[in-house]
Amino acid sequence: MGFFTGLKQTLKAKFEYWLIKRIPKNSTQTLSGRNIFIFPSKFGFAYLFFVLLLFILGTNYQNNLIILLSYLLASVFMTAMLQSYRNLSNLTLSAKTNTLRGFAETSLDIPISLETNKERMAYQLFFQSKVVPSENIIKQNDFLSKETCLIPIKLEKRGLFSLPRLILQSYYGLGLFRCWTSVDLNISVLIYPKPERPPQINIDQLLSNNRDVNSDDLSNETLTIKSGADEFNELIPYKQGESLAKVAWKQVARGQGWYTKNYDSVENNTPNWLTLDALPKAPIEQQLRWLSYLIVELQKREQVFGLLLHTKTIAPDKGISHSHLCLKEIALYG
Amino acid sequence: MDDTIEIAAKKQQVQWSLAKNTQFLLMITLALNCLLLILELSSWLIAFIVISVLWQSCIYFKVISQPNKLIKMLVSISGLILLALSAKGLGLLNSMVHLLVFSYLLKPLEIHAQKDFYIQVLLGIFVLVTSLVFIQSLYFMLLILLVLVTNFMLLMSAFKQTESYKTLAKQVSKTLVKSLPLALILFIGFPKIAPFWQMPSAKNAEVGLSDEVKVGDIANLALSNKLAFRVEFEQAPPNYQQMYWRTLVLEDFDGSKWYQQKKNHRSWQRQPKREEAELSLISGLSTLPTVSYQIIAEPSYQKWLFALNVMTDASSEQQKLNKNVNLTLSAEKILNSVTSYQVTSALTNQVNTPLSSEVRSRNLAVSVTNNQQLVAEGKRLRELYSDDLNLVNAVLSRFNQQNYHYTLNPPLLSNNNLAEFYFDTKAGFCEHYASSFTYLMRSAGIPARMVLGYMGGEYNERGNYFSIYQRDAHAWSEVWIKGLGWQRIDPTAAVSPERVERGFSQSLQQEQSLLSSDFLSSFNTSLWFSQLRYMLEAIDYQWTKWVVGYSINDQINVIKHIYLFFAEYKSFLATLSLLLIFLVVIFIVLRIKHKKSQHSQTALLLYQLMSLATKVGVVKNRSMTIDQFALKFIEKKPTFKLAIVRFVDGYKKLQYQALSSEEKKKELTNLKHLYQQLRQQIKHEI
Repeated sequence: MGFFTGLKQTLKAKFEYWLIKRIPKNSTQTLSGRNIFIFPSKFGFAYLFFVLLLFILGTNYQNNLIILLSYLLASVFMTAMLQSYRNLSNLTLSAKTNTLRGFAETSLDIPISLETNKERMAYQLFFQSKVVPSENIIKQNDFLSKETCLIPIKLEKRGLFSLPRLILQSYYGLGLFRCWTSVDLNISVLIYPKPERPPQINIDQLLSNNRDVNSDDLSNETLTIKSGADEFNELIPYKQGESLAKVAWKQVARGQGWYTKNYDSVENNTPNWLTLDALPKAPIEQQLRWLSYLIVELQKREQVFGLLLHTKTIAPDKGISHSHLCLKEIALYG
Repeated sequence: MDDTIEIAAKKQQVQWSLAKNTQFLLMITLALNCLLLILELSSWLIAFIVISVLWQSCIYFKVISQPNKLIKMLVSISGLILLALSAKGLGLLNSMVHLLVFSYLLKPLEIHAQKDFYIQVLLGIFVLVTSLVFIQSLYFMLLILLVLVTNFMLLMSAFKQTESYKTLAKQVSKTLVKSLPLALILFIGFPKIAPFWQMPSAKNAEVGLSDEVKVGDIANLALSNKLAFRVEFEQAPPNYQQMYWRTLVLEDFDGSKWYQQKKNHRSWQRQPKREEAELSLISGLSTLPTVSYQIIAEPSYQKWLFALNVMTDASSEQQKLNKNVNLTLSAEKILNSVTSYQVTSALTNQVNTPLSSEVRSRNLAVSVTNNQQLVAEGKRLRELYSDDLNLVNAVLSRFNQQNYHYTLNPPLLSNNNLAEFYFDTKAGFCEHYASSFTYLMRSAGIPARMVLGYMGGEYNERGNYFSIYQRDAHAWSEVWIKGLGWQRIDPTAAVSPERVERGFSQSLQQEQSLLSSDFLSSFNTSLWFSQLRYMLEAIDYQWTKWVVGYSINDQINVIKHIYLFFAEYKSFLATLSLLLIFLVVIFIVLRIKHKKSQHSQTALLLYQLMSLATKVGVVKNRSMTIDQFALKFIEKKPTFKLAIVRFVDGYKKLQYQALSSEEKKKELTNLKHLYQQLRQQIKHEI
């Protein structure tokens, strides 16, 4: 068994390699003999068997008309092959944009533009992958000229994800053949962590109280940019609903209980700093999800915020492009 | 990869249902496919088809919903019971056809997935093709092709749901027409194979002559306008009067019926070894003129074949042929499809062979129970004429001179009494005359026998062949006369000479059409109709000869002819192909040149520019790229910057980018224009 699965895998790898060489990545691909595959479908094989049966029937009865008809059906098979090839050839597939983004565990419509000079019949589009399940788009009607198809895929893990090969297949031409292509349109999707509401954090309070994040430890090397309000003089017991940014995490970590740092001076126009350390202890992925949520929320409220990560800092700003920048950082974090 | 496809397929199945268009086509094809087989189906199955189509249409128009499982089960069980009950009478082939049609009818109730739909389509085509086992005429084939179009329309409608029937039909016809050439090439060239195994044959009512003849039987045949066989002579055809197509020789008579061989003559257990005709015993055979001809016999579901006397050689590719001892021809197996065979005959109306005593006594036997008056008449004649030939002529002249007449509608004879006909009614057709004549000869001591066959034939000028119809069925007699051998005597000729000279006379034709109640035969008299009929029949003949009867030999011949054609016009074809190759080469060269010329034109422009550039002191080294050249140029003459940059851009575009031919043209003119500008500028500078 092991041998066979091994063989299967090597064959698969070989095939993948061959496919990459034969149909290299390109954001625009025109279908031709080079990248169209064609093979009889199950029905095609059944049909051939049936034609053979007719031939035997005709031969056994020495009935020329039945033999003639079986030849006719056999040549219809050949004609159908050409037809199904022609149905797809010269169709141009292209990626509308090469940079797409979305949140993990949501569905994203990938826009693919199809350009053609003639009618195309009954074909399906989907991405070939086990990792990213995609839905079939079935185009039943013919179309002319240019059209954009939206192929929904399910996004899973955060990070930069290059989409698998796009399959365009058609059984058109009497269903005797499966005619397909498998092209890599060089599309990648930036998948942001799934926004998850952090527990015990009230966004409104965070906004009203927190102007002074990440000042709990002076020795922390991440504190490259310090706001003016970095000195606290006492710890007061944490109350439910208070800003997490003010929680004295060190004390929490030491098991001394939950305390809030009390600052002397609070400047209201200081930006919000989002940082991993300000979040409750949890696996990094979880923390990133919380961060994602916070970024989305802050963006919604049109707040000025900055991002502080161990590896990178993004200066406080606001607006959509800023939040995308922040989300990109956390998507690619680590 | 496969997993996703499967998932996709599963998803599809869940939502799968037939479109309205497809449902309608399904119903229509079901009805049409079954309709073509209707002649072979039992009445209960026909009722089933009607009910099934009605049911489907009710479902289609949403009068009723899909039946539940119980009803489906009841229907299938009742159908199977009916099938089992009728299987015995139907024979193996027809039962199988019934089963096929029955399952084809029930399948539409069970279409839940694409797979079921495909099965339904294949079953439909199978049902359609099966009907060709029974009928093979050209017009039927055309009908089959038409119905095949609807079958493929059904299949295609699953992929083009919104299409109108007209466009569907158009596309399917296109596909079929495109497929025809390959099919024909395969048909002509693909080796024909002998049957792999024995198939059950169709069980049909026998057509034509039978080997037991009661007086009056042939009259029924005479009313039939059905084709029996067609003949094409290789040389000039013989006279009409010589076209006696011998089929059966009847030697035993029991008083009312003629038989080939009475059943009690031989025991059932001991099958007689088939005796071959011994041609070597016939004297003077080699001096006779011979004719060769091809006969294409329609399926008669009997074994008898047709040949002119004396048949010397016969062969067929489809069957083994038996030359019987009394010089008739029969097939090894029942003729259930169109059968063609080649015969060579030495034309004569007498066969000089010695008569064995056994045969002699058989051909002299008269039944004692019946027709005593004829026996007495025979004896009386014997006394009058000692010479056999004189006796024969005496009887023939009696037929001719007394008021005997030829009619297809004779008065009924009590108990088939030949004497009654001979002495009293004196009205009858070939069988009456032949039968009473033979009997009379036997009574007079001359060995005589009945021969059944066909007489004459209708010549089709367009096709250069003769059609022999069932109405041409004929009976005559053969008497053995010492020194001459078996002599053909046709008593009918004595009564109604035109019957054996030209076929049916006008009055007989009228009588025939009146009796046969065949309304078409009344048209036969009008000229244009007969012209049209001849033409259609000639087409059908060619079809039967070349397509239905296309044999291995034909295949070899056709291929040989094609080869010979090529061999004969070798030099011509060789020059033609050389010319073609030459033209193709020129075409390719021109195309390449054209492509190159565009390249070289751009190169030329660059070269010209470079030579101009030397005038202003810019020299391009070999190692320089065009960009470096441009930079150098600009360094030297900054005022040219824009023009140079544009020129280089255009040059690069033309040289390195994949452009369509139109774009290329545009770019090239653009480049030329730029070059002209530069030249002017440089000239101005100088």
